[in-house]
Amino acid sequence: MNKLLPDSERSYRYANLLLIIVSLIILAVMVTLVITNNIKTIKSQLRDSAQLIFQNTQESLHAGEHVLDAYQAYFSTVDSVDYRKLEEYSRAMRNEHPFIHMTQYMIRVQHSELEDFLHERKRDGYAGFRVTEYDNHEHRTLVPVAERSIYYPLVFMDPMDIPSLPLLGFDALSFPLIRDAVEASINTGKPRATKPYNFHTGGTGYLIISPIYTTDDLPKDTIQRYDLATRLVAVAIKTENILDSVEISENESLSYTYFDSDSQTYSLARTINADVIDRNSFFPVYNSSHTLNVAGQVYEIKLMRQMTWTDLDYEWLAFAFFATAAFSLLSFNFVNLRIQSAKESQRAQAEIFREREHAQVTLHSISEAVITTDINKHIVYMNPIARRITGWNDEEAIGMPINTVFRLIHEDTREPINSTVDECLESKGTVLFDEPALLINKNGDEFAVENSSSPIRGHNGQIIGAVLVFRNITHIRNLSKKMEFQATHDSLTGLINRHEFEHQLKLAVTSARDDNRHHAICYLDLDQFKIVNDTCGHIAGDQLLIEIAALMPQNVRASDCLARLGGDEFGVLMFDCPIKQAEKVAENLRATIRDFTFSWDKKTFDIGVSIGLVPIRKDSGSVQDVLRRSDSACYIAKDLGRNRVHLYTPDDIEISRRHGELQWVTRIKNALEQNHFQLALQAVKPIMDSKASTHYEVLVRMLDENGEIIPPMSFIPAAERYDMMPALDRWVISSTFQMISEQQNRNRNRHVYNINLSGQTLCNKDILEFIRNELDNHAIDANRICFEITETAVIANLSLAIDFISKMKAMGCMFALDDFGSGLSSFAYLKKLPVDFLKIDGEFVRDILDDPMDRAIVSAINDIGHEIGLITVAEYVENEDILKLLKELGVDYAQGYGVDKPKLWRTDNIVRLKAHQ
Amino acid sequence: MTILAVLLMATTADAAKCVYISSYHKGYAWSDGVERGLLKSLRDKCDLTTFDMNTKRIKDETAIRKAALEAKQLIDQTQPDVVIASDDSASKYLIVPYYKDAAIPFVFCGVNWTVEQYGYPFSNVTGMIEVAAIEQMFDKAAAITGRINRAYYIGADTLTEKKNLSRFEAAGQADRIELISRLVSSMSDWIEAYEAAQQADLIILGSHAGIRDWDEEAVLKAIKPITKKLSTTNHGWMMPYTMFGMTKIPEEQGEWAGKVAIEILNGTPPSAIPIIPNRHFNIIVNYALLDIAHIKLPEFIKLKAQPYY
Repeated sequence: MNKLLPDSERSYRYANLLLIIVSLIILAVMVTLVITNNIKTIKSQLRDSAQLIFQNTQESLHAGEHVLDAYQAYFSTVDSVDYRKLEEYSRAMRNEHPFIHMTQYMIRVQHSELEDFLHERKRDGYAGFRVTEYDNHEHRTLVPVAERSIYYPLVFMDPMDIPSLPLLGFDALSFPLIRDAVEASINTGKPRATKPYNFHTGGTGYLIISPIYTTDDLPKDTIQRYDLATRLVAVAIKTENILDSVEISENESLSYTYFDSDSQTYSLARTINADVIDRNSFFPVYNSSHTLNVAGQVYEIKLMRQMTWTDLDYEWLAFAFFATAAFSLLSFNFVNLRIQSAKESQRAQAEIFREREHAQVTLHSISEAVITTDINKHIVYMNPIARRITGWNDEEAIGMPINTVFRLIHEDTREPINSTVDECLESKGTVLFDEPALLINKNGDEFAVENSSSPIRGHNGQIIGAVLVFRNITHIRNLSKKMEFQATHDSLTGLINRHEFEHQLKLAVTSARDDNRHHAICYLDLDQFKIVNDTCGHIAGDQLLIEIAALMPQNVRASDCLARLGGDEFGVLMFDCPIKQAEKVAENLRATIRDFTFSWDKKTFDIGVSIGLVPIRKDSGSVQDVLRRSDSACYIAKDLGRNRVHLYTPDDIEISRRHGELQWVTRIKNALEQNHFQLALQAVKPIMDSKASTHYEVLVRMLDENGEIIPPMSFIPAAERYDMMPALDRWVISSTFQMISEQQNRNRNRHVYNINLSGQTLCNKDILEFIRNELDNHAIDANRICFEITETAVIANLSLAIDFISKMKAMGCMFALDDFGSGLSSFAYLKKLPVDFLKIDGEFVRDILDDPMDRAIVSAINDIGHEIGLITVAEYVENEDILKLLKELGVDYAQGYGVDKPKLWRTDNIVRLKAHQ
Repeated sequence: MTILAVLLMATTADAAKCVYISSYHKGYAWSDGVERGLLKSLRDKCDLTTFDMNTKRIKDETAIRKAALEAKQLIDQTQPDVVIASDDSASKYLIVPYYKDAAIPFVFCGVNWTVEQYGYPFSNVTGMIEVAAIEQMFDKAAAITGRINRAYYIGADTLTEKKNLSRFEAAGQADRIELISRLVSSMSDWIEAYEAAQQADLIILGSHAGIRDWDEEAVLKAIKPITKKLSTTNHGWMMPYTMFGMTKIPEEQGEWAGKVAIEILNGTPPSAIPIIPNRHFNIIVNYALLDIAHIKLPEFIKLKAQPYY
């Protein structure tokens, strides 16, 4: 194609060039025709004008001869010349024929009569009159005539202007040019013209001379003619005057040339409009000439005209140009359309090629695997990812059925399933397979994949194949599995956690109620755990819990649910288990733990366990009811001496209420009233943007009767269990706002305070109004408050939570989703929740340096959080190394012992105020 | 004598200066005509100063010479580029005695018939001679009355008239016409001569200038009863007493003199301009007298004639 394009372009260029040449030739031919026609017209006009001029000139010049004939007639009829009358005639003639310069009258004087003649002239008033001639013909100085036998002195002239006066008396025979004409005219009896000569008074012209004989008839012979030619009459013609009356156009030039028969040459006598002829111009000069005979002299009249721009017939030229332009335009248009079409085609091909390349590059580059098939589901194309995942190369796979190369089984059932291509081609639409599927490649390896198919349509919309897009989600699925595991399991012991346990319990309660099935639940509380913890530390306590957890599964069925419910409490949920069987299991558990000896730092501890056993039946009530019963039963077991199993009886509730529930309700109420709660702050610091605000999470601490701090994990679950959380949350909110208000008065820090809200509080319909009033009362800027809510609390009350969050945000408060990753960790919920911060559960952060999976999870949550516009916070940041890694991952905030340890926030006055209230 | 200096046009420091010397006086018909012609030609061409010698009125030779001297003084004071001098007295008493071949160019006009008596041409003098159309006059008279055998010439006894008469005598001789003449000095002599002339075929009336007691009304009163024969003249001022005139045109003289003066101002020496005679005449007819004499004019004369009122 690359080679074809330039050739095509070149050929079109040649076509254009040829078209230009043809257009120019056509234009040249048309212009030539127009100009030729113009020239023809010019020549014709010139010829006609010249003919007209010739005729007029000829008539004029012959009119001069006729004038002489008239003079002859006059002189022949009078005895004496009346000069006054002659002058009148002359004026009349000159008026009629402007080219007549002068009328002259000459009298023949014999030398013997000369003296008398001169005397007579003087007598008539011509004082000083003399017969003269030129001393030489060059200088034209008049001198007395040399003696000769006959003279023809000029005795009359009209007009008698002063410059001409000296010519009076000039002898016509003394000047050869005139003498020749005189002799010729006398000899012939006809007017004869002199050759042109320069007049005495200036200008060029000639004389036409006619003899006047004394007889009316023409004398017979030359001798008689000379004898009888006593007078001469002549008219002087100025050549410049001849053509003055000729009208020629402004672009014409007219020359009047005398032919000298002696020298056989033409002498230019007169030219008018000579300057219109430019010999240097490229325009040609055309002429038309005529010769005429004037009293025996030959003249040539030549009319010349040089072609000019104005001679061009612009209408026809314009037509020629327009016609050529039209032809060119149409031709160019046609050719250019062809060219354009070809270019478009080439461009389209190039575009297709480019798109194809782009598509191929894209397909080669993307992380998804792509396989395309034809309508028969035979493979047409595989991108590199697809080749790598399936283990098939192009040579092997192209043309193979899709289901041969893309072998899928259901992840759970491991049953073969077809690819989405089949359904796509049947439904003629995009098909997404969202069930867990495994791809078994050519080598037998398995990959978790997601796949979808879309039809490929041709130009006319018909389906010509399908494109299968799939990706290896094994890694993601493993991450999800771990997140799911961690969400449902206790990270310390590996047992399911309380949340999952409650979930399973809910299923059990439901099935018991709906299906009348019988289940059982054990609530276990280690008897010596506090001693281990106090004497050997938390690590030892944790190790104890791990080892106990490891002992327990051997005593329960695989289908049973074994969980760590908190601290040193465990739970066992036995499905479809009669109470008698359950009692055995519980006893086995107790015995196993009783037999276990925990060793730590050269110390040994005998561990016991108190177990409360509760049957789950149709009338067991809610999950909380069942838990409360099991808790009470466990309390009874402890109360009865520990290390025993107590099967729940209806009286247990009363007992537990007296010793348990009432105890916690009372303790919490007392704590609220007796100044046994304290606020602590732990900084949540920005690690990526130093200018971001530092947050402080408000923590609550409870003091027991002895002033010992009760950890949150001890009283919070109890507070939740006995609906004490709303009261506790309100106390925290009011106290926090009081503190902020006081601090506002003391300094101008703009820290943000994170306040935890329980799920129970979220469901409280009055909480919104309460917070608004508290904000108003303390004049707190709402945007300094960030509420933290747990994922589980939100999900349990999603619509209420969203409504609450939205309204609080409208007031300016911020929200953080706490412990993300510990619950269901559904990213889908994230999109729905209008929170600002995403706090990554510390369980993933704590071991991030050692556990790649934790690191991947933190990274994934951080990326996803950023993707949807959330600010991420990592909890449990216990050292600098973790902090450094979190920075590398791009987590925005960090919280934990490695960043800041919780510090008490003094609340004495708050408590006092509360006490007054 | 009167010295009239007329500034004809706005003067400029380098404008040409001309002096016009008239032999006669303002109000004299001939002189006024000459001056009209002169002004027609010279208009805007030079500053013109005029001087009238008044020689028609003064007959004393001394006074005439004195007038010529005054004219000379004017010329010497003015130092003109050209001087125009009309009629014989100016040539006779001014040009010839004082300016022959002088540096100042002169153009004369109105000099009767010939300049031989003044010795023209001078190197600094040219001009136009005043001639009468005697031959044409005889031709016209013959056309009116038939063959002229005898003609009677009457004029004042003056130099001019004598010259005029000699021309008629020459022409008559050429045409074989018997010419009888009387040059008189008084009106009564003139009337008597006029009555005597009624015997001739043609009466030629010369100028009365020079007859001191000339009384137009008396003359008219005297001649009307006795007029029988055709009379002619070449003086326009004689037309009240003449039936048919071929009069010289004073404007032609003045106009030509002006043209020549301009030519001289343009650098042409006077010697290069020949002296020529006048060529134009007016035909004037006094129908009142013709009617008295019962004479009819041929049509071709009527067509070109001017009636005298």
